[in-house]
Amino acid sequence: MEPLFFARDLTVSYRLEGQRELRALQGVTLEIAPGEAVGLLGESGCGKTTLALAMLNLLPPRARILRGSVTFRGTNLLTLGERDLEKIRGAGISMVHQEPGMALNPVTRVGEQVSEVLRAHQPIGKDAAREEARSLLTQVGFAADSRVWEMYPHQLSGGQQQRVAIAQAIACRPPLLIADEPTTALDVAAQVEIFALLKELKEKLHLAMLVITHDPWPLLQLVDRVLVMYAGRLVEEGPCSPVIERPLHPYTQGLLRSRPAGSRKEFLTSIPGDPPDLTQPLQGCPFASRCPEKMDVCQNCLPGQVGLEDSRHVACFKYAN
Amino acid sequence: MQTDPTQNSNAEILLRCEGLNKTYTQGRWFSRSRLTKQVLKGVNLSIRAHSTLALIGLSASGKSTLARCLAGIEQPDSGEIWFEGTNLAGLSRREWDPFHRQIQMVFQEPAASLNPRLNGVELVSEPLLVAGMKKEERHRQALDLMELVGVPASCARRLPAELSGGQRRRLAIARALALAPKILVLDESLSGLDLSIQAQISNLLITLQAARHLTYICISHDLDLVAHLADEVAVLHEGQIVEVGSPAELLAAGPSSRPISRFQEAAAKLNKLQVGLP
Repeated sequence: MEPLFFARDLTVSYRLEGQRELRALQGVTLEIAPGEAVGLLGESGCGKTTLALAMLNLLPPRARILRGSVTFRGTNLLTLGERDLEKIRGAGISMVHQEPGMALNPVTRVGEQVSEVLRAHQPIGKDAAREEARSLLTQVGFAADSRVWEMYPHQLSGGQQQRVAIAQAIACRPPLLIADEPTTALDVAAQVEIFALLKELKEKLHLAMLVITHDPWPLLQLVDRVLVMYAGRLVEEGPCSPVIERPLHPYTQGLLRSRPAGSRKEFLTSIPGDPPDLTQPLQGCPFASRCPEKMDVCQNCLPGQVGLEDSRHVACFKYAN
Repeated sequence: MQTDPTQNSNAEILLRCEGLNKTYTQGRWFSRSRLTKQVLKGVNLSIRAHSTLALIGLSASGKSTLARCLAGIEQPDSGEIWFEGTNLAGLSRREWDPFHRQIQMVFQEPAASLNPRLNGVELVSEPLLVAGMKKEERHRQALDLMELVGVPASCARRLPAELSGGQRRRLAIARALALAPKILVLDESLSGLDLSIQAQISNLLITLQAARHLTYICISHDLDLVAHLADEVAVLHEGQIVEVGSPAELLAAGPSSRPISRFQEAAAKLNKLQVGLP
C-alpha cells in the first residue's frame, strides 16, 4: 500500500552561535500508512519535536534540512511554497502540542476558536461552521449542553484544554495527526482520558497518528508501531508490544528499566551518564559511552539498521549477522 | 480517616498539622463580588522524622497549597502546624525565619525557581550568604554540596539555562540542602523528567535521605514513584485528607468509591502491562 506519509533520510541541523551546528536529526526514515498509529519514544533533546516540525515543514529559520525528503500523499512538502503548505497544515496533517494552554488563544472563546479553524480551511458559512464546531466539541467528549462554547481557555482544566486543541486538530478531518507529548502537562486521570480519546478518534475516524512521548506505557494501548529515537537517530523500530515488552537495543532496555516497579526504596537502574553533545562530530555509536554492552567496534563504527523477524529493526552491532 | 498522633510516640513525629484551613479570594475589577475558594478544609497530618510522606491527589486538590503552608511560604487561615514544640501557624514572617532553615522547599520547575543570572555555585551558595558566611567558605561548601548531588565541578560557572534539566533539579536540591534542613518539601520535583533522569534523581533522594537523615514531604501524582519512595501516603481530595496509610495498604485495590481508586484506576490504565515487564 502507498504510504500516507513518508520521510526519507531526513537530516536536520540547527545553526548555533559561533559557527557551531547541532545535528538534531540524522538520517531518519519514517513511514506511516493510512489509519496507522505510530509511537515515537525518546528523551528530551533527542530530536522528537524537530522531526514533528519537519513533517509539517515548520522548522524555525535557523534549522537547515541537509538531506532527505518529506512526502505526504505523493507531494514533497519540502519543495512546496508557504501558501500550498498552509492548505496541508491543519487539513492534511494537523498537530496537537504539549501545552494546550499555550496553543489556544487566551482571549477568544472556545467555540469561536474551533469554528475559526473550519472557516480558515473550508468555504463554509459562519452558522454552518458553528454547527460543525459544536458537533466537534461533543466528539471530543464535552456534553452537548455544556457551557464550554462560551468559555475562555483559562476557565478550563488542562485536560479540557487539550480536548479543545484536539477538536481543532481534527476539525478539517485530516488523515494524519501529530500529537507532540499530548499528556505531559496533565495529571494522571486527565492523561488516561486523553489517550482514550485519541484511541477512540483513531478508530472512529480512521486517523493515522504519530504520538510522541517519553513515557512508553501509554503507547501500549494506542499505537501499532513504535520508533525509539536516541541522539537524533532511530535506534529501534517494531510492532508496539514486542518492542516494549522485549526491547532489543541496550538504550531501549535501559529506558524501560528506569521505571520504578514496586521495589521500595531500592536503587533504580538508570542509564548512567548523559546523551552525547550533538554539536560535536560523533564517532561510532551515539550510545556507546553509556552502553553496558559496549564492544570495540561500537567506538569507531556507526551501526546500521539490522532487520530482524516480526518486522523489527534495531541499530546495534549486537544483532549484526 | 486521619492519623492520631497519640498512637505514635510523640518524639518521632517531626511535623504535625491540625485543622488547617486556607481560602483563596479573587477580587474582580470594578466589582464588589469576590470569588472565594476554600482549598484546604481542616487538614490533619503528621510526619515522622526520617521518613517520606507522599501527598497525592488530582490537580487542584490542594496539594501544593498544603505544601506551601508547611514550608511557610503561605500562611494558613486557621489551624496549627507543630514543629519541634513551636506552632508555626501563628508566627509572624520574622519569627518564621529560623524555621525556613529547617524546612526547605524544592519546586517543580527549577528553570523557573532558579535565578537565571546566577551561575551554579552562586545559586547553591546564596542561602549561605543569607546565613552570613564568608565568601571562600561559601564557595567551598557550595562545591561540596554540588559534589554531593552529583553536579560536576565543571558546571560551577554555568547559568541554569546552560545546564540540562536533570542538572537543574540536582542544583535545586543542593540549594535546598545548603542550610542543612531537617525537612525537604518536594513539590513535583520528579515530574516532567525523562525516565532515566527521573531514576537518577530518585536514587539521589534515597541516598541523601540516608546520609543526612532527611524527612521528605513529596507531592506527586505518579503512583509508581510514590510506591517506590514513600513510607506513608496521604490522599488529598478537594482540600481534605481522605486517606492515610502505607503505600502497600493504600495502593492495593480497594472499593472503587474511594477517591484513591480513581488514581489507581487511572494509573493502572496507563501502566496496564507493566507487571511482568523487564
